[in-house]
Amino acid sequence: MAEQPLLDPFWFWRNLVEQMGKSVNQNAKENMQSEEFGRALAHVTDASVAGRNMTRALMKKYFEAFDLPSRSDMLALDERLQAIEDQLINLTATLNRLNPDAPVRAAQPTGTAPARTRKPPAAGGSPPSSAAPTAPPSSGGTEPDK
Amino acid sequence: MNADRQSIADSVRTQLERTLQRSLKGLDYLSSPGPSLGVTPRDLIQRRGTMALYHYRPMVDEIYRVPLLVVMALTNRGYILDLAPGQSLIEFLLKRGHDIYMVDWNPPRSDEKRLRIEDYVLDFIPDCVRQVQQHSGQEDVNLVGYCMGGLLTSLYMALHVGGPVRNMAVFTTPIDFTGMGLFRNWTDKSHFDVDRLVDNVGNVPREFIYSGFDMLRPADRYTGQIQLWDNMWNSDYVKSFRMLERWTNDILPLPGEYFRQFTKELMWENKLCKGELMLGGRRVDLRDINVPILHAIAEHDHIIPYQASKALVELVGAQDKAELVLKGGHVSLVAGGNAIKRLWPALDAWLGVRAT
Repeated sequence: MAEQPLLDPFWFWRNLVEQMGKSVNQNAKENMQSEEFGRALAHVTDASVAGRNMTRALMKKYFEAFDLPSRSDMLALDERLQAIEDQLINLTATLNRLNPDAPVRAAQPTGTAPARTRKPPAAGGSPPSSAAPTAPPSSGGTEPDK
Repeated sequence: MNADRQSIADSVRTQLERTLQRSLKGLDYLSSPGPSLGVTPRDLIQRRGTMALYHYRPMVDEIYRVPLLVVMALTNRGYILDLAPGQSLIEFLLKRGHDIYMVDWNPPRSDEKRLRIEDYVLDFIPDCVRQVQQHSGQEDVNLVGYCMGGLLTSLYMALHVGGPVRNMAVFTTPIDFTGMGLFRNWTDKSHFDVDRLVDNVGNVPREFIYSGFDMLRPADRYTGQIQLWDNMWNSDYVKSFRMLERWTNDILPLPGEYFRQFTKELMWENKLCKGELMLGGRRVDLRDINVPILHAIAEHDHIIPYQASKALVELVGAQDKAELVLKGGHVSLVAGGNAIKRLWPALDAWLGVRAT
């Protein structure tokens, strides 16, 4: 447990939350290792999939009755548009390769390409200051690990 | 005595300031959009359905000869490696002179539910390697894979001996699936009917995958919110929290056939580790990997435990191989303060001498 800072009313509570979190996770892990839990989870998954399919079928009938496009209709449309977009991207890339000076290269960075002559710094050499990253706070919000 | 009194006064002042800041910044948190992520400039080289290949624009005038291709995990977005300026592995490597490409994945379309592991290992990744060669004008390529991207990278390398890849670095890559802990228990064939799931849903929904990750540490969702409120006075903490929260929630669906094959052949039968995995009619033997390899593993990884990942370096046939076990967890290995101090410089040093 961390040392209590002077007059910090949240210190005890903060430690309590941390210890409770660890304890809950540990207990949950032990319980979830059982075969019974695995079986129960499989039932929940089956029920969830069945419910999802039932809702989807009902909604489909509803949209059909009102002559409205369903989600799958919209997804199909989206996929067709994406496929056209993919073809355009690939066509553009092919054109870029065939004619590097064409204005269609707008997406490419301008200027000369950097030289591929870099060598690693000598052992113990310090990196350029522009490469130094900024350290964020050690705690990472909902990051699922420590 | 005076010093004690001064110290108490300072402490009270700090607590009062923080309480005030919590209220003010709490309102700001609720009313403002999250920070922009993945902002390092990049160009789309090719997109083919779920696959998208990007090239990051170099940031220095002189770069290493060998370009670097990063392969992301299928369930996660690539911006975990490019969170924000100053907190981006991609930006860090660009400034150190690496020429970086990334295979990032889009949610699979409904017709892509048929994609199998072979499609990634024998089609998408080789295609991306070819694109990188053409785009960079270099014959050699280095590969980096994160999590399941590391698995795909390893499978690709085992089946492309003598190919253009000169070095590979992977992070938290599962190989021995008997070590996958709770995931293995939940998907045990005695009770988990993967056929029924895949036949019913097509692509495995993101909610299903998110729930799997979330259940590994069920208390974190709630303690995270409490810690957020406690640290609301600290803008850097809040920014970091929001970035990681968004990434954690931004899960991608998985192609159904890929999931079926993954579950049956890897989770159930552990075929890769046994040397029995067949892809495209060829047996995958990790001993065939003979290029220099670095495997970075997180000491406290609860998603890919050490028992699942340690087999890679043991099994590959390369002479030049290294396993780097670093403090941290599955995500903090690659992003955040730990990564900046530990993995990033180690990766740069390892790659630098092998990218000339």
